[in-house]
Amino acid sequence: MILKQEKGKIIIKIDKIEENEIRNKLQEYINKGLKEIVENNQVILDLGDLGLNESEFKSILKIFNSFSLPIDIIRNTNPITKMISINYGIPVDAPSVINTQNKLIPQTTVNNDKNSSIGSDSKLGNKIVENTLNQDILIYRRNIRSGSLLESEKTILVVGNVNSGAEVRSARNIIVLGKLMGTAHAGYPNNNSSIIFTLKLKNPIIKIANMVAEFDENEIKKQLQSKEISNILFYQDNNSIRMEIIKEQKE
Amino acid sequence: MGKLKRSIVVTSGKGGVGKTTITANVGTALALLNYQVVLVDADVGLRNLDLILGLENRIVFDLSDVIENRCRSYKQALIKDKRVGNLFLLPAPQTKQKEDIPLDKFKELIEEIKQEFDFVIIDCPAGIEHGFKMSAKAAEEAIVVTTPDLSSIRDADRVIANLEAMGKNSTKLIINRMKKHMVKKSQMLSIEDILETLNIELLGIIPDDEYITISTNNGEPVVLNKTKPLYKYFNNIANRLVDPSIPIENPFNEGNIFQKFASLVGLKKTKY
Ligand SMILES: Nc1ncnc2c1ncn2[C@@H]1O[C@H](COP(=O)(O)OP(=O)(O)OP(=O)(O)O)[C@@H](O)[C@H]1O
Ligand SMILES: [Mg+2]
Repeated sequence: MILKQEKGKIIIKIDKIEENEIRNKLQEYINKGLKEIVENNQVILDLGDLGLNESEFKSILKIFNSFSLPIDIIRNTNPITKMISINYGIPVDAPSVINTQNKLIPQTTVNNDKNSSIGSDSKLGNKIVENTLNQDILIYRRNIRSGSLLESEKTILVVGNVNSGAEVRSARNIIVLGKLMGTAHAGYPNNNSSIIFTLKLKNPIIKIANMVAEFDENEIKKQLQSKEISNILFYQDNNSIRMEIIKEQKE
Repeated sequence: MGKLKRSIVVTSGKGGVGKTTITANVGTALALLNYQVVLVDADVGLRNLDLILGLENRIVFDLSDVIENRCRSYKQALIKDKRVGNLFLLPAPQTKQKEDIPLDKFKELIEEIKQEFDFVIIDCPAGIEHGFKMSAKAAEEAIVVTTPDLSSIRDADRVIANLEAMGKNSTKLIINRMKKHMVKKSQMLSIEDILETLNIELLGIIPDDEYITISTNNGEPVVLNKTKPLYKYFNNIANRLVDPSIPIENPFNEGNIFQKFASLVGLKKTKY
């Protein structure tokens, strides 16, 4: 457990559910005067990407209650734990900042370079490789349901669908091995070298850093003269979001 | 014979998708199959279940009378259906607010009723606020109802997420108001589309049929008359609640759709 103080905020970060350890540490901090600091600050409980079930969540709340420590906000990237937190009436979110919007024009590229991860005629080049290299990836292996927010500092790989009304938010990249029907916000809040890739999509909301793309699915399908679009890559270039359909080259 | 002691909440997120209609008809169908059934109206302040069952003028005590100990036992508040002997209704108070019923008291009550019956089915109010939490926490199992439109599906998805957060992982789905001609012309979301998004087990499909309105206005669940349309769909759902291996009654008999169901329903079991 780590304690941090930012302007107006006390952040208590927990990275293991060890009830005794949490209790002992809190007692230690309280002995050092935590209560007095808490009075004039917002208390943020940072649970990182711990996936807590309801009883674990409750037991943590109980510990805080037993010390009469309030929790104002919970930080956690696991959608289920977030939902539990919301059910217990503790807010979990921070608002996003979007300044600009642009209309998407689809471009088709062919992946014919075995050494490149992206179509070689793509404007993106090898940016994604640099951007992701040596960075941890958060792998989420289920569908993300409406009302849930999956958030991480890491690149997020979703093996499943992002449903309409759900949001995935990463400080780096978002890769969806499934269907993107909700919101994907990569490069949050201001990393414009981030990318979003999805196998399939349906009326998604695409945000990269401080930009949101205007996505008109019908118009895009018309332009591409196809009913189904798949393997779609989004990235920022020249202050606008680009969309590429990556086609496998036929042998 | 021992009692099944099952408690099930019927919920949806979006309002007006057929929760009350389904609670009344599936409950009646279960009673006709000789199970002991209690239907609990948890839509405090907006009760409807009594109307659909035609029991509205027999209410003496209601849910809040039981919770606030104004009657001796919950049994005093149960209204016995005259047509189907083993069907009972616990009506909702009409002059109260949802928040007036404490979550834990309601859960205790459902636990108590459950001990003496096969099924306690809770008709949940729309939304994801107090009334939903109260109903969902009290029941062990959940049925989510959706119609084939995007807003209803998205709300159902949100409700399923909430149920999962409560540790309920065996929620089943009923798709209500499927329209035959629209499915054929693919003007409507298909069953596969819906299952792809919601990714839970399908319990049954109920077609859209305006006869429901007539039956509701007469206070007579359609399942009371085997010749009525929709009888077999509600009856199928009741049977599948007891035995999930019974095939789904498909209103649109399009042969191989069934196989696709099987694979989609199977999806649920693939833990990623
Ligand atoms: N399969 C169906 N075909 C035609 N009409 C239906 C069908 N199912 C329900 N309805 C009609 O839809 C309306 C709403 O149904 P119902 O009251 O059961 O929904 P509800 O989900 O309980 O609503 P609320 O959220 O307000 O409690 C009613 O008029 C009912 O008759
Ligand atoms: Mg209702």
